[in-house]
Amino acid sequence: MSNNPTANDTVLLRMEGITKSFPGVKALDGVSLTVRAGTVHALMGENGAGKSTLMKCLFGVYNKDGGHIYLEGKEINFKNSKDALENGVAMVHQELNQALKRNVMDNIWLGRYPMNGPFVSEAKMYQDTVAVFDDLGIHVEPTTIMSTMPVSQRQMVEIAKAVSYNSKIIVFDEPTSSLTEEEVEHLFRIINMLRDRGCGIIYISHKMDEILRISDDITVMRDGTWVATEPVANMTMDKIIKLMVGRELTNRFPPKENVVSKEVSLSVRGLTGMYSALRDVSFDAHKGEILGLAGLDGSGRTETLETIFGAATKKSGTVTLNGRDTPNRTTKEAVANGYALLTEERRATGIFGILSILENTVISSLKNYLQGGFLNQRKMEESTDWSISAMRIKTPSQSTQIRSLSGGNQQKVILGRWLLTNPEVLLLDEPTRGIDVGAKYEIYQLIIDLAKQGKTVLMVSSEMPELLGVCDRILVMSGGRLAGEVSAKTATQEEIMTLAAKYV
Amino acid sequence: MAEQTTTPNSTIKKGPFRKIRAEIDHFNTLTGKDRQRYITDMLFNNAMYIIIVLAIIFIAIRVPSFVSLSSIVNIISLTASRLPIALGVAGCIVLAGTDISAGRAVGLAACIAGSLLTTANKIFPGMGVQPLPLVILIVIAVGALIGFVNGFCMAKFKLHPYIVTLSTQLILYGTILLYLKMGENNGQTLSSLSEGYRNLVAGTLFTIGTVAVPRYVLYAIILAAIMWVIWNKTTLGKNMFAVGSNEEAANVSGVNVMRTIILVFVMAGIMYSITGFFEGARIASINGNTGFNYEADAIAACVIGGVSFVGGIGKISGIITGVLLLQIIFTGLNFLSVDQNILYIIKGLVILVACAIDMRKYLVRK
Amino acid sequence: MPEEHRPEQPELRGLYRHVKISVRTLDIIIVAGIAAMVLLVLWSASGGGYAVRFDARGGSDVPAQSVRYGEAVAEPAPPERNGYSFGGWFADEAYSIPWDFQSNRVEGDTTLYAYWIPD
Repeated sequence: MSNNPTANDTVLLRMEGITKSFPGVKALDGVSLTVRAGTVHALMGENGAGKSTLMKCLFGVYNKDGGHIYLEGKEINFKNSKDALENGVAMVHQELNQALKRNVMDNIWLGRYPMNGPFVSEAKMYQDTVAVFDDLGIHVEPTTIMSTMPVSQRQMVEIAKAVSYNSKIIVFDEPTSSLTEEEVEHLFRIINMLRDRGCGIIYISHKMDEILRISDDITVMRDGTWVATEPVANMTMDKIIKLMVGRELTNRFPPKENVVSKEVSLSVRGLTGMYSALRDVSFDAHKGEILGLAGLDGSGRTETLETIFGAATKKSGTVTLNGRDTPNRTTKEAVANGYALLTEERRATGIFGILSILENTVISSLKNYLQGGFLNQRKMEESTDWSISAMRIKTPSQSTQIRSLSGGNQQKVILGRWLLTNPEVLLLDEPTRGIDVGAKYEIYQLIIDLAKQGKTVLMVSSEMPELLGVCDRILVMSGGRLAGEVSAKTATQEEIMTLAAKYV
Repeated sequence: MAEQTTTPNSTIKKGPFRKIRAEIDHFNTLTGKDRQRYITDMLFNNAMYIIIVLAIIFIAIRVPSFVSLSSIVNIISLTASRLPIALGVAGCIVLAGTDISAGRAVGLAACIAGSLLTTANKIFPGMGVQPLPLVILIVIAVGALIGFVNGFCMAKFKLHPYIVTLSTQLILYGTILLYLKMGENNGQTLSSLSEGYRNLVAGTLFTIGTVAVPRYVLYAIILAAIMWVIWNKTTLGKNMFAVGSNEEAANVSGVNVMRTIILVFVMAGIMYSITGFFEGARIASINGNTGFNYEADAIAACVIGGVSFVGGIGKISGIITGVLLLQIIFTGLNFLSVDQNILYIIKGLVILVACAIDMRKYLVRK
Repeated sequence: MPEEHRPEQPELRGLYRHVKISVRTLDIIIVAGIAAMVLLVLWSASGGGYAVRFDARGGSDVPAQSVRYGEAVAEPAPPERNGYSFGGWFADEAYSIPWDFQSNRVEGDTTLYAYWIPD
């Protein structure tokens, strides 16, 4: 942590007064960032605070409007990421841009293959790759095809590539979002090693515990401006949140006011997926209950929701709602049976980006507005108004394109869409992913309100504090099976993690 | 917080030109660099309209008869004759697809209509003129079938629209040529169409001075109105925009994606066959080349009219504007006696530029 | 940060999916495309009208005319040919579309064919 022996006062990277405007928006307003050699510098802020824009200005993806960037005292202005890479500034992206059909060493030496006359020297490439991997303690065969490797290993390759360029500054953008605990540990060992060699690491993440653990300095941004830069020793989780949100957040979760009824509403028996790893999942959910689904990525949580909803094909098993069999062969049938699914990838499968709030709101409940075969515009507007006020959606008007709203407001629009279908069961897949800290609270409140009205909520989340704070019971999945059940009141994160690893 | 992206002082305006007034208000809030960028964007995004207006002025000066009454009525009539096919193709484009079989579908419909409504039937020797309602039904059924096949392949197998409609296009062309060889016709042009058919479609609706406005202008207006209602007031319309905008999200939202795609293509097929039915009577001589390349004009018109290849974007009013502008410009070039072959090159350039402008609207600069 | 939503950065979707092009390149395409169109028009627009040729098919020569778009062709004096009598002008070589000098209008470069009836 703070007593990092390698930290010194040599400044590697200094970004000063960076300004960037887009038509009608000032995305960055005089932001400064100073990274010392041999330190991990965390960059924090809510979505939209300008972290990505700042990094894009560094890498030349955007042309900055004003300000200066100095690398080891020399002013620089990269044309593109390749230019940056060649000058010792690398980025390990959250979404890895790799040639998946090629092998590991091809990816590392892409664009600068070691040559032997007119031919690429495969042997030298192999040796150099092994050397870099040994150096970092990575165990990957250089001839493995990228697409056959798990994300964590592909990330290691990306890091190795950065190291092979002798990068002095390495930016990690949400590197742990799809890693297991163990893989995170490995990643941290490598980051610490790079730091000890005198590299400057910029670490972008939403995960407070990681930040507090690994970083030396923390810079917080808000609304495109610099807010604070402090050594980690002076920071606490609450203080960071306060700086990010700009106000005090005393409670992360709203009071749980929902009452779990004795009456079982949703009953799932022996659910097995046709094309997924889902095997023999059985559980009951009660009216007014918020039932959490925990587990690692790929443990079958999402598949459970999708199979119940008919978005993934079921091989066997039954789904009953209030004693009535609801096979949900298609999503349309599921909607008619009183189910609603909030998907994990909001942008890919949730919103209709270029369509208006109104169209996004009414799409699942169109039959309610039919009058003599035609849609009644006034009724649709009324419903949209209801949704905007009930969900507390911040939008200039109903005709605003949904893509111009913030993630939290988009999520509220989709929740509103589903409430208009009057569902009995809400299947929520990562309902707060990519949403600002402040907006998360509002989403939690909405979820608890729904349970209060007697609806059944099934909620998948990777954030364990969220599950413990919002749910009544938590089902833990592992390897496509149900590993166990815990009560949210008494369970600990360790307990859940142990169950999650049961069938891995 | 990062909640609003529109300018805070953009109050909601009412009344005519409210969009323009809002734009002006928006412009006034900008400064320096932004203002310059705003003007550049305006110029580029409207480049097609600007160039067409300039062209009209240029042509009207060079050849004054271009803006005579008869010429204007001629342009409107031609626009009306090409509107239905554009209305059909537009639906496919809104679904983030396209349909390059449209022109041949028009041709087949025209051939079928012509062969059943001719006074000298060589394809079916000895057969007289068939009742008009029956022929209309047959033609519509053929169009719907073509649309169904296209839509089904796309919806069920997720095939790329270009692949599906390219093969449909060739199959239809072969069918047209074989059809024209049936009986004693031997591939000849179909003519001597029945008076009733010609009159129903191309008869005089009313006359302005001495210039007659044909009936199909009225039919085109009715079709546009029907399509407007379908696009804006029905479940199918809303579903169509949802599927075009985000197919995955539409599926998860309980929209029957497959049914939507098929219905939109069936609707398009019907529009093509109606275009063919009109074209047969309008040009009064139908051969294997009738309808050739009509889809290119229709697609170009849609893109000019703001129906975007991005999917999920488009308005009926835009399609009408697009078809009209395209017709004005090509009639104008005819008045300048531009070589017919060069018109093809210009059409290609129009599509290229229109797509570039279309893409530009959805891209953000560095 | 999965969704840095501001500034709004729409990507090309639908049929433009996978298209990688900058606004600058598009601007060049737009300007160049329009310039090409204008040059083509100026180069080929004689303004004098379309050529209407008469293929006498073995008969006496009939001079070509230059006719503007949308105007009628002036009916020439009938050509002559030994052993045949003139049967009118047709728009196609198969003699299936007779040319009506009253109602037919010129819509492009046109060739008309003489029809001969053996005596």
